[in-house]
Amino acid sequence: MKKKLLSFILCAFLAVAAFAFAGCGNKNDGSITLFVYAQAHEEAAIRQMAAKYTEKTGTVVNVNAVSAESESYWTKLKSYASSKSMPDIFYMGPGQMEYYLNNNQLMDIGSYISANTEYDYEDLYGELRDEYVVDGKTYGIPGSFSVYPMGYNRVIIDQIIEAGWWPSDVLPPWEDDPATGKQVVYTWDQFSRAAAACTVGTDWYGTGLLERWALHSWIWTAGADWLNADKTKVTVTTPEFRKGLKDFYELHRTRGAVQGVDSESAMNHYQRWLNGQEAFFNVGTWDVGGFDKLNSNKIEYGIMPCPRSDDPGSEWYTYSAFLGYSVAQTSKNPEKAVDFILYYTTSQDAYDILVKENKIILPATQSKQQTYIDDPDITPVGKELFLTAMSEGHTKRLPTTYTYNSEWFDFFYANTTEFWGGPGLAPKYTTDEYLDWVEPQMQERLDRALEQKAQDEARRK
Amino acid sequence: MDSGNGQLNKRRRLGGREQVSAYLFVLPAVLGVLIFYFVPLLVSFFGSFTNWGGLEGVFDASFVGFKNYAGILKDPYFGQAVLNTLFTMIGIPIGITLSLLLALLLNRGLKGTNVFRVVYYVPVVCGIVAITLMWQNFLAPNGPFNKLLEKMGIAGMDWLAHRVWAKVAIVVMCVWKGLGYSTLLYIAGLQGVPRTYYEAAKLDGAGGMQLFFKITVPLVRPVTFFLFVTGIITGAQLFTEAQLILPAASRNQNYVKTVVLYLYEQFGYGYVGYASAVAWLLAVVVFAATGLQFALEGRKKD
Repeated sequence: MKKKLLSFILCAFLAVAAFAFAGCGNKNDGSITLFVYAQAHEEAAIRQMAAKYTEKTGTVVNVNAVSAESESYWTKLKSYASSKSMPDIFYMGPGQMEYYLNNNQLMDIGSYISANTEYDYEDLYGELRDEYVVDGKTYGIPGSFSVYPMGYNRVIIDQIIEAGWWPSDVLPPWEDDPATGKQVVYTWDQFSRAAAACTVGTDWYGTGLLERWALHSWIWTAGADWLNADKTKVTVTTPEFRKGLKDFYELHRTRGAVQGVDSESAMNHYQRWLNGQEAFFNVGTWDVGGFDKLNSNKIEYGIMPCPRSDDPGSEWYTYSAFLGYSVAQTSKNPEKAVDFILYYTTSQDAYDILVKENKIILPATQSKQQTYIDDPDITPVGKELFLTAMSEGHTKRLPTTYTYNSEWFDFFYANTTEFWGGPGLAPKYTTDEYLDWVEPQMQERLDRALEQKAQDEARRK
Repeated sequence: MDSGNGQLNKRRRLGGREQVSAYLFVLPAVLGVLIFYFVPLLVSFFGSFTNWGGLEGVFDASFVGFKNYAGILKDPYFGQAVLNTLFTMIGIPIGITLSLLLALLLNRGLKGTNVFRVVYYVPVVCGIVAITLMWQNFLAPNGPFNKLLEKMGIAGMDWLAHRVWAKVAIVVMCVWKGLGYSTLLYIAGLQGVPRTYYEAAKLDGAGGMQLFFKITVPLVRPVTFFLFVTGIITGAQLFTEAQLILPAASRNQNYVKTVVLYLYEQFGYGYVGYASAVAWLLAVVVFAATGLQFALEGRKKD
């Protein structure tokens, strides 16, 4: 009898425990969960903000950060959505918003924003706010924008100038162009000659850019784009696109601006830049906090425009990205979630902790722009370019911002060894042949995304 | 007689009650399997015939019949992913052969055997991400491997940028990582082979090779069979190694994409119905391959 009773109690306990654990994701203890992707130094700053908010309001903010690439973040978010366990607040880019909106994952938070009297939502840039407004409903709050201009390492360049190796007709990147009165913008030719001059022995490398992110500058300044105006056709075989890709390829392969293919993969260029071995490398706004901790004997970096094409009158471009915060349709604490997002994006603490102390974002509020530019404590040299690049029209959106998913775009990069080749490996295609080969396949994948979008929209309606 | 029947009934009743208790004990586990394995299995099976995006309910998605399956079979990159996956399975017989030879060496009771056993087992307990990144650096153009070749007067290359060598690198890495585990199983298998068999064979004049092929190999066949079956199953699901072996700047190149990596990408793009179809195709192939191996093994036994 005793045994039977014990058995029953044990079974009942196990069953109750199983159900209790199964339901533990849905508890509502008044806390809110924030899900983001972040490098280590960014995560530390985000946690600092969360702790400060808890100190102020008593609301606990649980930070869940993915430290890998952004792709892992989006896959994980998708898993949360499909398992109906969305965090209260999560990163949402304008490019991804449509997908989550069509699948009823985003809450219209307009009424909570209007009801909030503590923080000034209107201080956020209007064009950033508009990114999250669809049919008059607000599905997110912009948190930051990022720009990806070029950076230079003055330690290397100063020594090259001193040695007399710097090209005499090229101004150092930190100087102003007398013709425009603004910071010098290199043409492709000037940039590759300057980079080649900085390629010395096995110690210094002129440049070596990450094709997935840096290639955009080359494509856009050549007058090309990835998609047509209504974003339904892939346009990578236009003469302008061909020209942009060809120059990017030649910069890395034939002009002596990169140390050599043999050593290219021995250490990635990002690591070389961090080691103070690379003269030019792109600097994203999110990198600044991390780069500030680098050894100043080897690296003293500043910001400069990306090079423009050799055509007279060409403009330089880089990409800008927006990232905001959305609240899950299923959130049990939307009021607190919105309050935290507004605190995180518009408060003085946000400026002090995220912009000034940790330098992980640019201020998204209008009232802080000039403060940021004038603040001598905020590095790097030339930081105003982060803001002027956008205000003066030198930035464009990543092409995937306009499409339902990035399969078509990823396909381009999934096969680029076909033209890069490598040591002991002959390229299969020239850049022109590659573009002819890849375009129809990219188009096929874009058509698939358009079809999926149409289906989702039809279902939503 | 009556009392005998009474005893029997009482025992039956007791047995019945014990059975109920036993069922109650296993109920949580059974429920767990049903809820967390069979329900997703059925959902994904149904989803594989729809254009399910993953975020809406699977029953809200439109039924597309065999469109996903046809699309997969038509996609040359799925074909490439299958070939890449099969290529990496070359490592299974290589690993089995090497581990058997290693086990024979380590089973001789030589000095320092225990040290070697530990050394060979170290990769097994190391994280696969760390191992993959270590191999990536090892095989880099200016990495230790090319430097070693250079000292031998052989020109190295960017192994991971090469369509074939990158896959060979994955094979070598997987063999290296799994060697300790397979060797350990073979050592256990070898220790179960009675010495008397060898002694009797030697008395009959059998040589070393005969002892190996006529006694050792047949008697460790259960281990070989186990390693082969699990090798096929895990090999078909190869993911992390293929995802991380290439340097970050050139990641996701099609020439190392395996079936599971292909599936994972499709899931990420929001084609969950399509990804489910890939998963089912993979499952069917793995089941068939495993079933075939069991059938062949059974025939051999007969």
